[in-house]
Amino acid sequence: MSAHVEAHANDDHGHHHKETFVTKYIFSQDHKMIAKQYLVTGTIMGVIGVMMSLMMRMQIAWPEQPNVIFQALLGKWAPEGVMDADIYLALVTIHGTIMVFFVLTAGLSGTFSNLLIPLQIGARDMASGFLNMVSYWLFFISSVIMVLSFFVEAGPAAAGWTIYPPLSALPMAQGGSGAGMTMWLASMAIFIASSLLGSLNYIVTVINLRTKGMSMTRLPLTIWAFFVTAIIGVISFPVLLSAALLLIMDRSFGTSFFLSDIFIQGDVLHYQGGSPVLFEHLFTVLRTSVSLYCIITCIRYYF
Amino acid sequence: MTALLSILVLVFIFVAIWQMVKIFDLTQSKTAESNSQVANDQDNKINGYLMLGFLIFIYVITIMCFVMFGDFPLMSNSASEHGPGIDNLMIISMIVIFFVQTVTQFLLHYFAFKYRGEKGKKALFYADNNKLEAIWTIIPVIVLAGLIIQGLFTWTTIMNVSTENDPLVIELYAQQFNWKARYGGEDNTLGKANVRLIDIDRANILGLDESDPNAQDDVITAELHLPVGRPVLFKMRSQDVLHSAYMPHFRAQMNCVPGMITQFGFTPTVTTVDMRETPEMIDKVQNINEIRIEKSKALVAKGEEGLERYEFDYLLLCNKICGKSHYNMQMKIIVETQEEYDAWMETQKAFKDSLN
Ligand SMILES: [Cu+2]
Repeated sequence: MSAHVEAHANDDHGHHHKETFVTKYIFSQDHKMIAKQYLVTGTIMGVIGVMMSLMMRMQIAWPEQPNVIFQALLGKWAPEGVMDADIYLALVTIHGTIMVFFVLTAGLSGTFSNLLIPLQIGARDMASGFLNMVSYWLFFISSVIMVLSFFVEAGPAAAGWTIYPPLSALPMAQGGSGAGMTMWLASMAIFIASSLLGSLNYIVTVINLRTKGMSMTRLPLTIWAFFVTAIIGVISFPVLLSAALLLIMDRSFGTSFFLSDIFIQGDVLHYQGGSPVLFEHLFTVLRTSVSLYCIITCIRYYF
Repeated sequence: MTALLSILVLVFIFVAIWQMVKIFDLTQSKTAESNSQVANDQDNKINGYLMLGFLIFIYVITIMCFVMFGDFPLMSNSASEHGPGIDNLMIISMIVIFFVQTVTQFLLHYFAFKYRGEKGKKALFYADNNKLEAIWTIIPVIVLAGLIIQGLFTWTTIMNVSTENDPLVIELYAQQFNWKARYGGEDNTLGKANVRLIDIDRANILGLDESDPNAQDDVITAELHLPVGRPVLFKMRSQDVLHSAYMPHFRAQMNCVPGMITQFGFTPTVTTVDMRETPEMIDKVQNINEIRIEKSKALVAKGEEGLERYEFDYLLLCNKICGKSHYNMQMKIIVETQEEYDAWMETQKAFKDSLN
């Protein structure tokens, strides 16, 4: 009897109940599988982002020259193979968004935090496997929305990855500020929810699930780096969410948080009293912490 | 939609090929020894030397870049009073960064080579060394604090605009996708303005208050003329989206924000004519024109018109993405003597005479 208990206690997690293909590979709650899912999704987004930057560089190297690659990949945005000025800005915007959020923030942090935190602190899994799964699938949905936004009629968001209003708020200022920007904002709102769930999970795991004798001062430096980046994420991403929500209000419900005294295409708009500088401040909070985030991400590879 | 579908097809083809390669791999029988996944001394040695090779590669690339592109005209020929201060900051930062980069890259790659894996080699357990850590913390702190303090002093001198030395007040007005300049006229005072007062039919394109006496003698132009040596105070306004007034030769930049007025002041020190005659500018212009002549030949051969000769001019550019033609949103700046400026101003129309 006791031998049986012993054997069972030594048994690694994951073998207690039968796993189907769906629970093992798709809606998995296992931190290693989720790490792999993040890795694959982040890599695909990374390939898309790098291809965009290659097209930008090709346009800069041979300005306004026709190119079969543009014709093949950009379609109507490259009439006779010459890149359109609007799509150049869209490439800049989406490339920046993908690289900063989907690759550096989610791809790297999601992959390595999920894989290494439980392994290096001696925990069986993350604090909440379910929330971890939700976090990945929200990230996946936001990636899909972002990719789908390339295909809308008036073009994807093109106001720069900082999406400063009024340019991003007024569809008449730029084609990309119509449906493309709406999808960008929807994608980012979901992305922020995903990032928050993930970060909270990392923080709770590091604080609560360390194995016996693993005090905070004995944590590997890698884990300290993940821990600090998670805290920075929890502090800064809600600020971006609030900025995005206010921008959605300005765009769709006629409020004037970021807009004032605007004359465009022969008309004075009704917006009064807002300030684009407010958005710049909100975004700066995120921008600073994302740079910190990236610096710590890079430094931890040297440890 | 067809684009999306064809991309999906490509993705599936890629997955199919990948799967076939995997199956092919599985069918190959493995010889255990040579196919071992554990790195041996030979592998580590190769990687160690590759590290050194990469170090040499980045040094060679750096030296090549210095030889081929190593002159920085935009770091030495500023045309405003505060310009040299900014150039200094830039040069000091570049030297510090370059020095640190050279040293740390050497250490990083050399250590990776020296302590590569070898059978029987054991890592030394080295907990900490407070003295060493203090040194490599304090040195960067001093250097960075020095850079930041110098930057702060430069910043306050540049941004501290006083109206005591009688600056020429000019409004820079940004719209998608061009610039307008508004001079204060005889009284050097800008009249009140708001986009709500814009009346295209009466040609009141900047929204000046027609009842404001200060606005009557304002002069609106599409070219920016500045007398050399006189302080200028720019008041920036935008009618639609964020723009940024960027005058690279004067080391000046300020955002133009709809709904508010921003400002920036500087004193131009070199006239356009003098700048064109500096040796480095002559070199640069000649270089550009040679490229243009080459390109014109190709164009003429195709039966199109050749390119014009390039001549240097100061420019006001937009430096914040503002829409489709952002890249081409610019205004010519001409710095000239006071007499030339006065003569040019004589030919301009006052606001009250320009209305329909
Ligand atoms: Cu602009």
